[in-house]
Amino acid sequence: MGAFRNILLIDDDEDDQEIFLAALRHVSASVSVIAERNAGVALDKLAARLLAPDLIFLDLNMPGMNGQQFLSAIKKGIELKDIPVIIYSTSSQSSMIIHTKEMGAAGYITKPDTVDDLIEILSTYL
Amino acid sequence: MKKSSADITEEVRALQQARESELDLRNIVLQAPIGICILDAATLVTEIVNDSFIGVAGKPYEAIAGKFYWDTFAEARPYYESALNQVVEEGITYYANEVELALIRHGREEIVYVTFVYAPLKDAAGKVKKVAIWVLENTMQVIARRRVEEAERKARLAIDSAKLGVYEIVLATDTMTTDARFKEIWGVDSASHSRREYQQAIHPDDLPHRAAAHELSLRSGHLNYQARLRWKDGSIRWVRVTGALTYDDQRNPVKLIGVAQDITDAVVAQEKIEESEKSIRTMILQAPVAMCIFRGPSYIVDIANHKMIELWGKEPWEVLGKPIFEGLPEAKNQGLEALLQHVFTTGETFKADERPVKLPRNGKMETVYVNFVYEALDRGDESTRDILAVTIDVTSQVMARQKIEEVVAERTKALEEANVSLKRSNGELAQFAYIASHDLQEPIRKISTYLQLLEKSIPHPDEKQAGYVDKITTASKRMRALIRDILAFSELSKENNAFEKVDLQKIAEAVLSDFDLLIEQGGAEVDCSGLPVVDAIPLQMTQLFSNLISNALKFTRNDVKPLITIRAEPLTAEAAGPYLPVKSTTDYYRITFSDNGIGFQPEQAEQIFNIFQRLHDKTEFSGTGIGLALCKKIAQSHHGEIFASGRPGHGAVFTLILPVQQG
Repeated sequence: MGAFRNILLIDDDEDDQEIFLAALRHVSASVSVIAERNAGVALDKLAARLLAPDLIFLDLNMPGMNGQQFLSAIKKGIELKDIPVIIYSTSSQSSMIIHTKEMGAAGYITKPDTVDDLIEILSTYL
Repeated sequence: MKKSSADITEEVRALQQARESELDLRNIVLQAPIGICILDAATLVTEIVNDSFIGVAGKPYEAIAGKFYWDTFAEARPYYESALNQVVEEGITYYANEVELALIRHGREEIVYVTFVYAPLKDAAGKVKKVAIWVLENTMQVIARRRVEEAERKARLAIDSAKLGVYEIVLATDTMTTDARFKEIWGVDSASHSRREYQQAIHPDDLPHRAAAHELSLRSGHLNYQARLRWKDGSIRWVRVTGALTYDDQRNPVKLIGVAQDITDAVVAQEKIEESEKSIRTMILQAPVAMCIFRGPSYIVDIANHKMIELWGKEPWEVLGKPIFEGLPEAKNQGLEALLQHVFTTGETFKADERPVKLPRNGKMETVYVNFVYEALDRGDESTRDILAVTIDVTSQVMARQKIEEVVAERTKALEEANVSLKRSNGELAQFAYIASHDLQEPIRKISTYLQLLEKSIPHPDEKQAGYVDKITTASKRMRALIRDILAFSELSKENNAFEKVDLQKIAEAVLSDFDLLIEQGGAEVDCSGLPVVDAIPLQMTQLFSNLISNALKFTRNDVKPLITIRAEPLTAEAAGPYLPVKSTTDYYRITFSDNGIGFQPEQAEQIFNIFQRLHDKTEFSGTGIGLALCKKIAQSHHGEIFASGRPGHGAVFTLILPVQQG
């Protein structure tokens, strides 16, 4: 695809950040990825234009501000609401998938069991 | 022609004579003890009337004397005017004997009975000059006679209606006169007057009794006895004889006048009553339950058996023959008075079950539970009745039941508590399994992903390295499968699943399409049709079908083309009963999953449903050992059952019993 250049990953789990980055490297060498562990901090940075991603991957289950709260907040920000947000969560509950789609999520990825699966999924988005 | 003095003298004398005779007549009339009045025949004006007549007429002298007769007796005119006229015209005497007249006497109408005569008094030429009326009042006599007649009629009627036979014995001659009814009663048809013949009809056993009655009658003047008669046809009849003696001036008995009445029916009825009374008494005394009879409005204990007296906690002499609430004052004010009163006044039967009554026991009052019936016994007398009481002491049963109820309540409470704690611990366990497996997913996912990253970072591993990576990969895959299945299993315990109408055919088809690739690779044939719609949880049904079909596709024989058949048939509650732990009345389906795979040993049919139970080596057939346990749990949570049958090398049959509707 190659349309997205700047990606923001919000996930409190550093292992998952590492796995995500490793998988993403296999998909594309050219995208820049910034990982944030705290959704609240990420939201502040976005509002302050310290970050300007064109795609956000968002974990749901996080301490402090969780994924749903972040999604809800970003959809209220006039300048931020058009940034596509893809949920990246261990949860595979259909109710959660539907709920976040209704909130405006552009996609939903259940964290897969293998790197190969993740590479495959990410390649469809990028 | 002039009259001579002699003529005149004669005339005067004649006139005088006539005057004298008239005076005589008048005197006779006036003094007569019979009512007399003389009327002038031409005018019917009363010329002479005596006191007796005035007395009978009941009218004042002025209303009679010198008055037109029919003015005086206007009330009688319609009946007797023509008779009087006839007497005047034809000179024939008219007699009226004891005729009834409605006379106005002293201003009031009275019915009187009179005998009267209208007699013509003629002159020499035979012309009726006057009418003499003689009247005699018979009212008292007639009334008296009518009373006698009435009394006789009534007596006759009484004798007749009471079917009394009458007889008379002249004591001096010992002859007997009887009427037809008496002969009929006695069964004697001869015209004989012999007392002996009548005596012979009396039953020999009753002769002394009769003789004694006769003996007594000579002193008392009255005869009264009952005796049996032996009729010629051999039948026995009962008679009651009553009579009275008549005496002469010297107080010597002359006659015996008596009546006889056939009382066989009454005696037989009485015997029957006595017999039934006796049998009631016998029954009461011998009854295996407490029984007694309360007589009359004060409920006198007429008879009570041993059991009843024992129930009352009394001695026989304390209660027998006494009003119950006198003999058993302890029973007062427990509502029993009102019950007896109700039965006594209405005749309705009253029944009570397990009624607590306080009765004396060893000097103390104790509560006794009784079942009893009060039944009215009518004895033909409407003013009173007896009450039969039948009572069963059920104290020990009631106590035992109360004890059982207490124990049951206690056990139920304990069971409920155990159930609550079981539910809690089950819930906690499920929660634990869910959380554990959910949280375990995270590290195992990471293990497998890092493992892959490791693989990728070693582009050319040596044989040993590759072997280790392989083993870790296999172990982590298996771990993932286990965690996934435990999670699924634990999720079944959550009670947030709702039943809905589920088309099992559609479920099966969706599951089969998931297995398309596997079916194609294995060259398997699946025959699935006619599955019903039932109340179920769709996801669980998908899981169940998925597990069973996956098993059938997994445990195949290499030498045979796999064949899977899924069929359904309706099953009545009765037919489903033996398969189910709890009886139900709903309809069921039996759904069978048959395959021609490797099968299993019949003795393993039950253990394959145990969690983590595997029959085969992991290397031979993959799987976690949770699948069939999950199936069992799903079937049971649908109030159904699943069981298996099979033989090694002959395939397996899984039979699923599911209710059509969830209650």
